[in-house]
Amino acid sequence: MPSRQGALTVVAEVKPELKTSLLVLLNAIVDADVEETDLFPFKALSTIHFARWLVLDDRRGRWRGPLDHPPRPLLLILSTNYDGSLKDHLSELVQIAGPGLGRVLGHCVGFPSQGMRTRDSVLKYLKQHSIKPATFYRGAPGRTVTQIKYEAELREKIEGFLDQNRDNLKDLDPLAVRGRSQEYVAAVFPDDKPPPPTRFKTLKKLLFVIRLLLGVLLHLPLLVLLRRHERRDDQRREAGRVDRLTPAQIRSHNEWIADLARREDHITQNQISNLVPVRPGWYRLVVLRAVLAAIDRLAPVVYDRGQLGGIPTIHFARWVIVGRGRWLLFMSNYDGSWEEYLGAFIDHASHGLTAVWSNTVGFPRTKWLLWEGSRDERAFKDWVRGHQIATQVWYSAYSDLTVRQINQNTAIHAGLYGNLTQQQARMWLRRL
Amino acid sequence: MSALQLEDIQGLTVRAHAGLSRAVFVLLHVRDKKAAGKWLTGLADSVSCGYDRPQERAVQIAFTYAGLKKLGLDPVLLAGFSREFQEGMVTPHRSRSLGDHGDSAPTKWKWGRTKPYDEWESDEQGSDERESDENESDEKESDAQGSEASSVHILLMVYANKKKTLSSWLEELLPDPKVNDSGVERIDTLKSRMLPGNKEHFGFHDGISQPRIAGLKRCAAPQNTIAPGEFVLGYLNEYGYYPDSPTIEEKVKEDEKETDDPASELPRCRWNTAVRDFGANGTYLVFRQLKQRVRDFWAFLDKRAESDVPPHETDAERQAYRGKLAAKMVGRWPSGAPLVLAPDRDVYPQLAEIEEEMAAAEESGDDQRVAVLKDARKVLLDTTGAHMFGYYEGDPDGVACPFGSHLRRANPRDTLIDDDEHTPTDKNIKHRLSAVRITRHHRIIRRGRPYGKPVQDWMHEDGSIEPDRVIAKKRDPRELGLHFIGINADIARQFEFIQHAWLNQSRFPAVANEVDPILGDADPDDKRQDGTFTAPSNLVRTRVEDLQRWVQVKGGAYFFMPGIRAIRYLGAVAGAK
Repeated sequence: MPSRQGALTVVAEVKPELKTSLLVLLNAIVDADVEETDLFPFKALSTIHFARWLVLDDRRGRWRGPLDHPPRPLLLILSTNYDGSLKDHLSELVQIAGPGLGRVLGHCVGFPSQGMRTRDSVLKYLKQHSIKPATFYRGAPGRTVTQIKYEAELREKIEGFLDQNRDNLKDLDPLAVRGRSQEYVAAVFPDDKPPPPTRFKTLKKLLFVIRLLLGVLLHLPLLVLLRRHERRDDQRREAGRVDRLTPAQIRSHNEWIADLARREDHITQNQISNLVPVRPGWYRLVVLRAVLAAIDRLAPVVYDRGQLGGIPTIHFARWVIVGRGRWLLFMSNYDGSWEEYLGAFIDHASHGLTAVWSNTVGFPRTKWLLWEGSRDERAFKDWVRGHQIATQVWYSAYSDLTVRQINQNTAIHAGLYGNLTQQQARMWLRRL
Repeated sequence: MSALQLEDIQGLTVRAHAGLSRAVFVLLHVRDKKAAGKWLTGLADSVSCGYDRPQERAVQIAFTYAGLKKLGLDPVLLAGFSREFQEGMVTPHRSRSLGDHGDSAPTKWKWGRTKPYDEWESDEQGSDERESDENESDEKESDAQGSEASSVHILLMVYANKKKTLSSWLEELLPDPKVNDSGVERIDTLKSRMLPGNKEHFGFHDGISQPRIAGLKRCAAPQNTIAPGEFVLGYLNEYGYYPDSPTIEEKVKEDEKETDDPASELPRCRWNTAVRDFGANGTYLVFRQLKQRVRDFWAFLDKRAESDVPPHETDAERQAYRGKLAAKMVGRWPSGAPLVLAPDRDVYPQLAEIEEEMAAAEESGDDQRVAVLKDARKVLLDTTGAHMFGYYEGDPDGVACPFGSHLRRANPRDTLIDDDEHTPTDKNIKHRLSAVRITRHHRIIRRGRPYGKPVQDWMHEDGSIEPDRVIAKKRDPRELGLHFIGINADIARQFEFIQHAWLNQSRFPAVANEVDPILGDADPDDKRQDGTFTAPSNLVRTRVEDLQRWVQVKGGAYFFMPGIRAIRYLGAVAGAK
């Protein structure tokens, strides 16, 4: 059985008077080096792939476009991507990171006070405050942190073996090279077992397609209203448009982006957190929920090879609706640079993203839910940066692996087992 | 699509001035705004435009953000430039993503530090990328370099066919301040000269497969013909939108006595005709001085060849292995023949056939046939053979041209998206097309020029080099390198993207733990990019380890190369009181 990967999102309301102290504490975690800090022992948590602490600041966002939305809620988010069941994950969190959790969440409304803080009361608080993401995507489904790290090591070892024995191996056919590698692995990793399958069966896919079609039929009546809403949004945008931003506004926008950029490109992966108000009215919220639910169900079945709509660089991504249906929070862990990620959004997943984000404020003009929108490259990138918020603390369990490599490593591992033809062995060897 | 306004676009955008083999790049500092404005107004007439086909000399001009500010450009216009240009090439984040660290760190640059680096350092709180103490003391010493007094404002690019023409014209353009004050001061004069056969100093043919701007009369392969908005502001780009551009409202004259607002000289903005577009027909120009360690490069390859080729083999065998490894890293042979078409030898497969047939035709006196074959030969060398190829059909697994080669990284053509089971199927055709489409968003026009006199000891007259003679030396006799010039409309999406996501990223599709073997920021101290290069094969791949950094950054800046009307406007603005 492949392992289950889950997404935990704890949303807690920060006591306004403690906001500064909270930010100071979170910065201290970063300054102490997120992998080594005692304040929050991420590394000791064996089930965590990625984790972040995030304060949704009550400042207004800065972007080009109308500013007619409510101030941001002052919320603290703890987000993790974990292996196994939620119950086990939460107990591990409390068991190992209990004191750190207490120190951070102690800044929030309703968190058990010092004297009342028991294992059970903290667990109860976490459960009560966790929200199920509307959409959750996994780039390397079914693999635990342990497996990912193990397979990376396995690959390294096989590569080293090939390098050291190059002179003996270079004239052998692929099957023979694989045979030698198998012998080597058996000697070095005597307990090695074939990796569990990571993909769904065809029957399950078929069932899914039927369900999806039913879902689309159910939502058809909504589409009748769609263009009307889009036109109205266009008019609103025109009316509320600030024709020219002043140089000072542009400067502050640029400083905002520079502040986000300085947190990026330190390791192989990057993170993004993006918070944007949902357009007012019931209609947009219903459409948004429907689209998010569709992607949520689509992702594990259709995009089960580490490519979300053709984007091969996303480890985990999620959309969560917070603040009583008024805000849409997007969090993602991806490979490569921001510019690359956003480019992939536009090139591969424009329709899907437009379908989601055109229900939120300030998004570039959209037609029929799927068209235009994020195709307006400059406007879309500005919009994303304008609504992006700084991620105070961010942790990655394998800071030098891409989604592609994780999937490749599993394929290399799996290729050590079973009978292969000469051609299949050649394909296997090319992954190394 | 609107026609390109070639009379306003600076010539360098559309042509390389290949006939003008000498060039100097003069870095200027504006000392006196008003005098500089007058000088600029005078210079505007000499700047070559897209229509000119200069035979003897040409001049182009570009400005840094600091320069435009110093010249008094309106704050509204200044705010309209892209963030990358406003911040400049030197910020901690940018140095990180462009790979400007170690020996290439801006603290060690000869020129181009726009702001004292330690000032940026203090901006970057909470970063774990702090420089070591040693570097910090370094910074303080060289602080003057980055100070306002010597910051680069203008890049004057002067081209000529002869050395003499060049120096006389340079004098004309930049008169002695005692005779005629131009208001600008020289910071540095970067000389350059083309190497024979369009080579660069490692010995490879450079500047092949340039993107062509759609709308120019010259024809090119469709996959190399790119929307003008990718290289010139004021035109639609590959997404079908106009690139961002600095625009300004024209001041309305209140009475007749007032002079015309110089902004009325500027072209109207294409997407909002109510305003004037300073950026129209202009473009961003990325300049980097790249030093090449030629001797170290070849010595490394030689050492590797020695350990890989069994000792009983001949010297010729070892040399062939070394040459092939170099070609694998570059992706082309020294002549420019791409590995994907010529996987084993530095010769186009069809070339021999054509030449054989040509000899036969010459013998039989069939002039017509000879002429046809001559054309075929030219087409093969200049177009089809040089850049009309993809990787997908001929080389999906990188056996001929490795995924990690410089050529395949800098322009992945049709194999950007990696598909594990990439055997050509219908489904994969879709992938291929989408890869082609994506690659089009990340192209630049390269106008770089080599610097450093060709080394006679090892370079032949046709520009090819003799690696054995290179290796025999202890070091390069003088500094050799390339003044890299890249032209693009969006620095972040084009130049920076290529440099960061394609060249420096150690996890580029289909490679692991590698950076570009020629231009990448290999760093032996960083496990993630410790300088490995993999050449796939049908059997066990060849993995080369411990690559060094053979190309070192010595300076650089982001410039804006305005349209000619915009230069006049700038001159008028600066020259006014």
